[in-house]
Amino acid sequence: MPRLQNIKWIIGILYFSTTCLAAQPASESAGQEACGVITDSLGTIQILNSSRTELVYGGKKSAVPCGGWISLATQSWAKIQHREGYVIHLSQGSFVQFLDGQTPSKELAAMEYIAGDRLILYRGQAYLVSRNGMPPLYAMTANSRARLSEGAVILVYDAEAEKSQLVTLEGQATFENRFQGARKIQVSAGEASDLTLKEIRLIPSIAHGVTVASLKSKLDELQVGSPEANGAIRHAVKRMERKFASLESVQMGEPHEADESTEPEEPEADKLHSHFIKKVTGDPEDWAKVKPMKEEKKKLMKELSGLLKEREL
Amino acid sequence: MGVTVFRQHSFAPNSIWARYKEAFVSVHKKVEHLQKVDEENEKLNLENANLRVRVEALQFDCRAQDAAKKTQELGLKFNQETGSRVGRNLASITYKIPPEMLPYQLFPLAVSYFKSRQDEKAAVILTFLTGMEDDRSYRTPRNLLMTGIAWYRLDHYSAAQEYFEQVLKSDVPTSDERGRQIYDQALLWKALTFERLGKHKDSQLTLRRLLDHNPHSREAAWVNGREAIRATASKH
Repeated sequence: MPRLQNIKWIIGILYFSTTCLAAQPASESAGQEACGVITDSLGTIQILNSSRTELVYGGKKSAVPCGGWISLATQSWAKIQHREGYVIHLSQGSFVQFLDGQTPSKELAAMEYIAGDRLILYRGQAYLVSRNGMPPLYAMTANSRARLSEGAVILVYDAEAEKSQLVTLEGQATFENRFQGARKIQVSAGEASDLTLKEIRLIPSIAHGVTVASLKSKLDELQVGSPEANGAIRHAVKRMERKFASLESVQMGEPHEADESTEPEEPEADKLHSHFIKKVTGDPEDWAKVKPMKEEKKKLMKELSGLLKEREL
Repeated sequence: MGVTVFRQHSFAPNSIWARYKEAFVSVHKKVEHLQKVDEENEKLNLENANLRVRVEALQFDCRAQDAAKKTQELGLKFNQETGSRVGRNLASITYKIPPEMLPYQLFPLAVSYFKSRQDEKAAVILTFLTGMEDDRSYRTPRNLLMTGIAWYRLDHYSAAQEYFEQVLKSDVPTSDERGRQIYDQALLWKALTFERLGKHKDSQLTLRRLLDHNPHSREAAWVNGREAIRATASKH
């Protein structure tokens, strides 16, 4: 009988030891509101809650608490589904804080935080998608703020160069100096805008086309799915073609047609601008008429030279 | 508790149970040690993560404060230089004129940029073309007006003002319709620039000058539609 009792003890103690050492499941921080959930990931991802008391190694289905930080090691990436519906992809080396978008405290408001800020990009790059019906997505870096109503963008912050960049892949987004919101730069699909105060300018650069090669590497790093990536590349190519068109027009000696503005319109001068453009540089429709006429002239000249050659022969 | 009881229990020496006990105690010690190490590791990880957040937050705050300070300083500088805190000058525009292009090729490029609201590029090229010392063929009232407008759109009001002034001082043939339009529009843009600079009185005076110069023009009608209608009516 005592032997049987010994065996019972051993089994009981072993069971107790193993249950104590069993791995704890990655759970949502107690009392913390989740701002998003990791839907897919690779590599080492650390999630720290807003009170900095709980560290979780993020993986699939890990919650990202509001006010919490997420840090990605090298060769890591994460896809996050935000509670508002936004899709957020982060690439390696990124360090991001998630905010709840509520009105900031006085201290934060003094640092130009605004209601609606959802994400702070401390370093690295983020792919952000917002769809129709979702509240506008505000994401900020140390010096800039991007606003996305509908579409997809890549926000990059190079901490060493203190440079922010917004690349729009789909739709339209605005980009501004966080401390000088008077001038917002509109960035359309296939375009990018940069902001660095080292260049002695207060507002981001005017939107310019992005090369497909540079875009591809970013899309790969951010694990953007192929339909979205193809769409982004298509937009970039289209934007670059627009640039070629302007160069072509130089050879032809014609200005190309006006397209979207890169700056917000000024209501008082708007009327004058549009009228002036027509008055001084001519109506864009008139310019459109010139091109076919020139082509016709070229054809006629060719025919004439052909006839002259025949006559000489 | 169970472990202590098990440890204290005496088995016959060299019996199989004594061996089991020895092995169990040894394994348990190791498990306990591993558990301690694991807990310590977790604590250290948490501390590291905390420190990292603190470092990143401090760096972020420093960069943000630096950006705020630079924005304020540059704003003041630009305000003095351009008349606007967000004004852009030639030094702050990164665009460089394509060196392989000749002026007659640059001009349509500048016009196309002007029309497509790529004002920085348009301003750079037009400033270059209108400022050429050896070739003054591009220094026409129309081009000067376009240059002024490009700078106005870039919030460089003092530069814009200079160009509008040059248009008004140049020999614009106001007898023909085209010349008159350019003159009137330069006046209008000048008035807008004064308005932007907060010089409301100067703005009013410039607009009055426009109305006096050509009260029946379309430009005058923009300023005061009723004035144009009234003036036309008085003709009858």
